[in-house]
Amino acid sequence: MQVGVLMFMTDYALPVTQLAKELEERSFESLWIPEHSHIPVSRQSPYPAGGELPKRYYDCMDPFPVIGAAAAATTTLKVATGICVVAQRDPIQTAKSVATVDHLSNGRFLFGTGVSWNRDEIENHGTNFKRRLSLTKERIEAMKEIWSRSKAEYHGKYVNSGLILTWPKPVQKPHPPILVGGGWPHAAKRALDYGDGWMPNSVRPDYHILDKVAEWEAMKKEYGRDVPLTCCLAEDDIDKWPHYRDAGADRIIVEVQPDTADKVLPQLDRLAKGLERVAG
Amino acid sequence: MHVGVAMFITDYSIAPTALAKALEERGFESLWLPEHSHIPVSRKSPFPQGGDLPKKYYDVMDPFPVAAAAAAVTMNLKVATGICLVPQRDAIQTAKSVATVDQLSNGRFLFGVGIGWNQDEMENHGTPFKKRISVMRERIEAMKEVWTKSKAEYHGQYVNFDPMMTWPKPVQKPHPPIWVGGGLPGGGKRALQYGDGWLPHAVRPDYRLLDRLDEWRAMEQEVGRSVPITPFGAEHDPDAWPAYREAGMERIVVSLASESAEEVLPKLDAMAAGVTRVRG
Repeated sequence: MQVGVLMFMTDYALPVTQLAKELEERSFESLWIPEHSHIPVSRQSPYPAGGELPKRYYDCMDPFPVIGAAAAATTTLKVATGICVVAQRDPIQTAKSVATVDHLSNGRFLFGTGVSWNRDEIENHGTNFKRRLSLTKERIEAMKEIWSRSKAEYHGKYVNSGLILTWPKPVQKPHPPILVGGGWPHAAKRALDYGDGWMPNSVRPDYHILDKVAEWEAMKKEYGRDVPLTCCLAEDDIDKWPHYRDAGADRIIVEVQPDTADKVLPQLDRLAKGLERVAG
Repeated sequence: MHVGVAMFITDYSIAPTALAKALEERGFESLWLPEHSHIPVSRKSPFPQGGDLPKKYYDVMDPFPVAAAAAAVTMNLKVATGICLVPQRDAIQTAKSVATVDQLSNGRFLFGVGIGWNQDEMENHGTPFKKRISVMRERIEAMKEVWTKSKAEYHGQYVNFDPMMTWPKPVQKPHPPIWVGGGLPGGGKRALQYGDGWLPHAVRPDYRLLDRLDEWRAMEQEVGRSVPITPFGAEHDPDAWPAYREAGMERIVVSLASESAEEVLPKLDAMAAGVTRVRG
């Protein structure tokens, strides 16, 4: 089982180039970068995890340049959006951003995606909140056309483009793996519908992901499709990690808070001790 | 006078990290990255410089992650969009991208912007071609609000959002310099209206910039504002450079073809002595 680290990159965290190198040196598999483009003061959607929206949600950098920098500082670490809010982004621009970071990393990019939950943020990008699921699906389908065809076109309800030409195509063929974020059962269905992996949060107010693994296995059988399971925001407790491996998870992602190197590096040292236990 | 280099970064050109290091080692001041998100097959707009649209326009990577990768491997080199097609990009996302790259480069980002000329490309991003000048002005004004205010809002004809919060703010205060591309008179007027510098082509099919500086000086006087000029696409021959310095330019940008390291590095070597000479 692989272990990745997620951090909201801010201007009060250690530089992402340093974080990426420290992760690679300690044999973590991947670095995951979330995004929120901004937070409207109106705050129409409560924070799904409960309580006040944490400060880091206001402060996080654009994941694509952050990943470009992280890739430049490393050679084997995978670099990932975790997650990219596709419903807030132009699909032609995003297809280009994804192909670009896949090149800058020489095929080490993982495209974590999600439909998001923050209504007024999404609406400031011209997206009707209620349509975000269908819009995300169409945008991902359109991006797959762009990544895999010399002349791409897409004609959907929300995305509509005549024939276009654009390179570079991604290094990974046909495109970087698309991991679909979100909870049980809806996001799991979306992952099987158009994704290359499912990436739910591990600990939710109403259930733990490991309690849903049997149902997930049944759903995959029903769909006749198998995609890997990445358990996001797993516990910062290496004693819990073997449960994920034993349940058949392919990867866990642990969040580390955006903090200075003197705070982050001891935490990475502690977490790195768990890697061997879940290796293989 | 400083010398910068522009290149359409593609998957067959020198890696941007290698290019950035090579430029810094040779005393070049800056790396400028153009963009085109895609090229529609319909090709409604002829190429302004005449002839077929060159291959590199189809192939160029997203400039923000490329600028971030270049910044990650350098200390002093400035990194720049040259130019960013603002009418094709979401204002809130772009404000975040600019602030991110300015943070990752520790204040070395220059924001070259332009209105674009390729009608069908722009329209695929939802911007009516005839409105692109007003759309760009509003987006730049909105981004300045986002970069400088804790709670930013903007209410224009094309950009409209209520108070919102987003960080990081750029390292450079109040924001990275905005270099406005375009010719005389339109680009020049826009530079004086909302730019921190003017970024015209040095050599155009119909005129050379140096032959029309009197018009520019008159325009500056009329507007009552003066901003520096960076001629873009200056001659490769260093013997042509002193004329720009003598005309009062602080920087020129030389545009190089998207070629491999073996082809690019000797060209940089051949220019390096000229770079030192005009730097004075």
